[in-house]
Amino acid sequence: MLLIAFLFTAVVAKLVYVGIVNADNLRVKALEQWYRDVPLKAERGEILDRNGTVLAASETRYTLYARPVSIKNKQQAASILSEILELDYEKLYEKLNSRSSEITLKRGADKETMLRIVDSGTEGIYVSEDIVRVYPYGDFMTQVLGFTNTDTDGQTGIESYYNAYLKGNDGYVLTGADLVGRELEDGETYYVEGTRGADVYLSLDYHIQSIVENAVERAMLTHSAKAVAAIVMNCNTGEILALAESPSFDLNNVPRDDVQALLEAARPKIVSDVFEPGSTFKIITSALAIEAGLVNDKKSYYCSGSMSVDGQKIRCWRAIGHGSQTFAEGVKNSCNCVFMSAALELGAERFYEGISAFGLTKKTGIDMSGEGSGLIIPLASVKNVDLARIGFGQAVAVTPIGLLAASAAAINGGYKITPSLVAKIENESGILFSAGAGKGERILSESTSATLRAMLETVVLEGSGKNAAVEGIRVGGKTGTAQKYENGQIARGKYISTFIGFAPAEDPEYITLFMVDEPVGAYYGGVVAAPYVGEIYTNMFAYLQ
Amino acid sequence: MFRPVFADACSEPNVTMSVARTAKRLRLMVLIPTLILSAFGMLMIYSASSYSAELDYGDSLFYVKKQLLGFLPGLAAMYGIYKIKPEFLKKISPAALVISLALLAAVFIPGLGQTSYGATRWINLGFITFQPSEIAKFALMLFLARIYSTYPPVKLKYLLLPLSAVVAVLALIMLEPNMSITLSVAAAAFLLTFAAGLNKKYIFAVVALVAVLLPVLILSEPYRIRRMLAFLDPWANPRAEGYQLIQSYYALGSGGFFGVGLFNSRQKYLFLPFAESDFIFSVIGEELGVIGCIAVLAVYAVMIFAGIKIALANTDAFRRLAAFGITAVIAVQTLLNVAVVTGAVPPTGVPLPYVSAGGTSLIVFMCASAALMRLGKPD
Repeated sequence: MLLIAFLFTAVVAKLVYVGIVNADNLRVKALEQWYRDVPLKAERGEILDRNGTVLAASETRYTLYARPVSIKNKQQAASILSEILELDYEKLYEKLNSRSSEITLKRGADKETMLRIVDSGTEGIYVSEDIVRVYPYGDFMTQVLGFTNTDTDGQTGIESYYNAYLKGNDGYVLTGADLVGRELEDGETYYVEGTRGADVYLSLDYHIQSIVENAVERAMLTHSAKAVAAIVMNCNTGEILALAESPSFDLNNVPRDDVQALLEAARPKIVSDVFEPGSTFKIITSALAIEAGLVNDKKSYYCSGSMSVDGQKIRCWRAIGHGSQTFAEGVKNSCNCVFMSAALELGAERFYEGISAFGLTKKTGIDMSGEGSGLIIPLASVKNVDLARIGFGQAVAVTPIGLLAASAAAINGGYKITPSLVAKIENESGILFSAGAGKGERILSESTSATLRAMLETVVLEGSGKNAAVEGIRVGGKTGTAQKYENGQIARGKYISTFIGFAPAEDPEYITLFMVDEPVGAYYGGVVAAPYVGEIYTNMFAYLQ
Repeated sequence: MFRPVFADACSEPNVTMSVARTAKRLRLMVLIPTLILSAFGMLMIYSASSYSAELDYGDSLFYVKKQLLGFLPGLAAMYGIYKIKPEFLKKISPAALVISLALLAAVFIPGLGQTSYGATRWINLGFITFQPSEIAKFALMLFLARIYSTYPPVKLKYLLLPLSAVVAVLALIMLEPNMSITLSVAAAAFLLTFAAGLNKKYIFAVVALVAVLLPVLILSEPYRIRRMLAFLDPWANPRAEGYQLIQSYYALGSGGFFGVGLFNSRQKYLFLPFAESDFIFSVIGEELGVIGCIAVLAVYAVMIFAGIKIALANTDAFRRLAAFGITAVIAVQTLLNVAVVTGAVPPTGVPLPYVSAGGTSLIVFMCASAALMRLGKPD
């Protein structure tokens, strides 16, 4: 009797411990399992151009589910649903009779379809809202904007880089449910509000982008090119006004079947890939030679059509040579011999120091994922023959954006800039981010920059860049015709034709890079790329006024 | 220890009157708790199982109806047992034990035995399934009472027959396997043997034997080791071995002192396994709180107290021991169930007498109550 009384007391003691002493702790844990939380997707912020033109927006679409257990008349439900949703009646009927607790009827239905089904009074239908991404201009600014996955999480471009701002905070619906997540009939439901994502304003301009996209598309067709890319940037602030690449695709209909091809087309090659720049690199060599005081009007250089360095004969593009010329004439003629001499005069250390000061061996820091950085032979192992080649843009690899940023610094008075795509990010509570666009560290003197500008203007006025000339606007620039390498060998007949041009030449504001990859037929940058830069400036200045 | 102390006092008429009144009161202290617990059981079964029954069988009253099918025949059986003289029980007890053993063995006959949750504990006769162990435990008690009434367990040779009966029953139940019922029958048999005057040195021997055997039994089955560990820290493995206990804790914890109110359990929405049977006490705790649990335990305590009083009031050794044995089974099983639910001992499946869903269990315990009442009725 005593024993039994003792045991009763013992179990009551344990009961009191569990049910009273430890109760709060247990209750909290129990609450977690009693509610099913369904996220309420926050509305994703918009992407707009600098003037507020919407480039990417969100629309609500609906996902329709059915819970077979709650549908009594399955035949009727199957016939109504298959008609409205254009589904196969037999398959749907079979699904409605399956043992699964929930089946997905349709994703991405529009509001009208959703309402028709709800109004049909079919039982056991559940609707969830989804937010889908819509790009009003389709195949436009494709690599810049990027796209999202089905959960509207950014995967490429701005959508990915600024995903944290764009996505907002999801809300939740907490619904009382049983062990397997079935909603309870009299279960309580709690809503936790989410917050809308912030809007991202680009520095890009819809109109300028249209002009550039247009030029890129035409260059693509005219030259049967493998790829064409162009970028327009404010050369004083680094703000990008347009960035277009072809081939591309419609952002509203992302071709996801071939992932490899999709990633290739979605990648902004202007930012991610390196190429051997060829003559456009002469802008950099010139700037460094002028800054080093190696250039004056009296000094003359002789081009016989080739030059011997360390016993190796390196050819100028003009087999018969340019004869005797000043440095400025060498720039205008794009004479390789002049730039070989300049590079050798600078010497490896000074030249490398300058290249590094221009940031060509590093990333520019543009606000885009996957930026590449330039490659150069290590200083310790660079030979004179390499140095001579680097002087005119061979034996060195840079990203197009890196080359453009360096060129901008060379002609803007000597200030480094950081290319940027986003101007500001804003939500209901205010501005979250504002690009501190402006000049960076000074790497060249104003006089060097001015001298270079004058030289580059003659390229357009009298030299290889004539096709970039614009009526009424002074344009300066440099052509480039780079050979392509395949597996370490020069690929015959494969070129990248480029032109870098800035305007107005007297006080530059804009700098543009235009690249045509593997044009068929003509391949000189001055013929293939320069005309499009001229055209872009013509239309752009017309729009700006 | 339990000597017939007031055997001589029965000659006085006024004392007889008071004895009769006391006896009646004791019988009511068995009857009323039996009815209260059985009826309360059906209410709680409804609360605990209406959701799962609706899902599984399309009838929220499924388990309640089944329980009612045990309760109504149970009332008739109670009446019948109450009319039987205890001496008849004594007479048939060897036969009852033999039949019980046969039934326990029959569980293993394919087509007759039914296996659920990895154990073969049920006999399926098509229209009814029942657990022979429910009957066997009471048959064993009556048989032991009969033997001890003639040969008290004071000598080792007197212990041979009862001990072999106990071992036979335990072994067959253990083979099912059913550790929890084995343990509760063993404990009840021990209590009865002890009450019958077991020599002190044997008590120590038995305690020592249990101390040795229990770890062996536990270690012999991997699932028991896991349950042991789960009992010590259920959160180490919350989705497997620790699951039942955690869910039971959640139920008791969310119930707190006053409970969340009748029918308001959240744990019964499939979170708590066996909510209507082995873990019904968790649902009672969630809905009616610790206070409700204590009230329920108090009802059991009244019945057990009355059972012990009835045993003590009997001068006949068989009657005294039979009453004690029956009471021991009720007490042990109640304690074991509550101890499991509150995590005081490792989880093991044992129904709460009178309350848990289970037709045979209910009928057998109702019969036990009736037998106890009859034993409390002076001739």
